[in-house]
Amino acid sequence: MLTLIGQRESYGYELVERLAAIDIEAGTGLVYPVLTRFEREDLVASRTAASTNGPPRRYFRLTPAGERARDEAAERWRQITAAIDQVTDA
Amino acid sequence: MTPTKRPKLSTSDQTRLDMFILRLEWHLEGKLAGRDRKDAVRSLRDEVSTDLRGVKLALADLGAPSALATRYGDDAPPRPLWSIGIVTAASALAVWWALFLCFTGGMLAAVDNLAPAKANATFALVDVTAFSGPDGIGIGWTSGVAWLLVPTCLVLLAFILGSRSWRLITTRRTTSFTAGTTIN
Repeated sequence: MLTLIGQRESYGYELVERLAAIDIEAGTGLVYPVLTRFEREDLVASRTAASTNGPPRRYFRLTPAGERARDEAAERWRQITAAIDQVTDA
Repeated sequence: MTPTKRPKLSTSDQTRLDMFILRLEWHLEGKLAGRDRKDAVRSLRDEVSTDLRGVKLALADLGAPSALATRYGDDAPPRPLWSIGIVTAASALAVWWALFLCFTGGMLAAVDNLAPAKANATFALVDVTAFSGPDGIGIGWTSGVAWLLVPTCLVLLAFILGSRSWRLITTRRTTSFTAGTTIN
C-alpha cells in the first residue's frame, strides 16, 4: 500500500480498487484501518480535495518517513524472495 | 489530518452510520486509546460518508464492527473497557436492590398474613425488620456500615470484572517492555 500511495496520491476506496486491479482482494475493512495506522505513525499525510464525481475526498500521500518505510519493506521483500528463489532453485 | 466536509446524508443513512459507529466505538475502547480512537472513528466517518457506493454498501463492505475494531487495534495490547465496567456495575447494583426489595417484600407479605406479627431477619449483613399490626404495616433496616459494605463490594467487583481493569496493569507492562526492547 505504501508503494501504491507513493506512486500517486489516493483516497481510501481508490486504493481498494487499485489493489483489486493487481489481483489483491483487500476490502475497505482492511484498507481503512491500515491507512489510519499509517497516518498515526506519520507514514502518510492526508488532505481533503474536491472530486469531479462526488463529495470532497481525503487523499493520502507518503511522508519522508513513509518513503523510508516503503524502501525498507521493499528491501526486506527482495531479501525474502531471493532466499526463497535460492531454496526452490537448489 | 485535514477534516473533510462531509456531504449531508439521508436520515436513514445517517442512522445506519451512527449505529455502526456506536458499535465500533464500543469494541474500539478495548483496542485504542482515546485520541487514537477518535481519529480512527473520524477517519472512518469521512470515508463512509464520501463513498460513492452509498452508506449501506460501504458499511456492508467494512464487515462486522467487532472484526473491524480488531483490525484497527492491530497488535496493540488490550485495554480496559471502562464503559462496559460502568454498565456492569450499575446492573449489579440494580440486581442487588431488586433482590433486597424482593426479600423485604416477601417478609412484609409473610407478617401481613400472620398479622399482628413482627419479623426480624438478615439479608447480606443487613438487619431487616417487618411488622404488621392494627396500627399499620412497615419494613425497615439498619443503616450501619453493613448497609453500604455489600453493595459497594459488589459494585467494585462488577466494575473490575466488567471493565477488565487488570488490563491496565498488563498493558503498561507490555508497553514498557516494548519501549525497552525498541530502545535496546
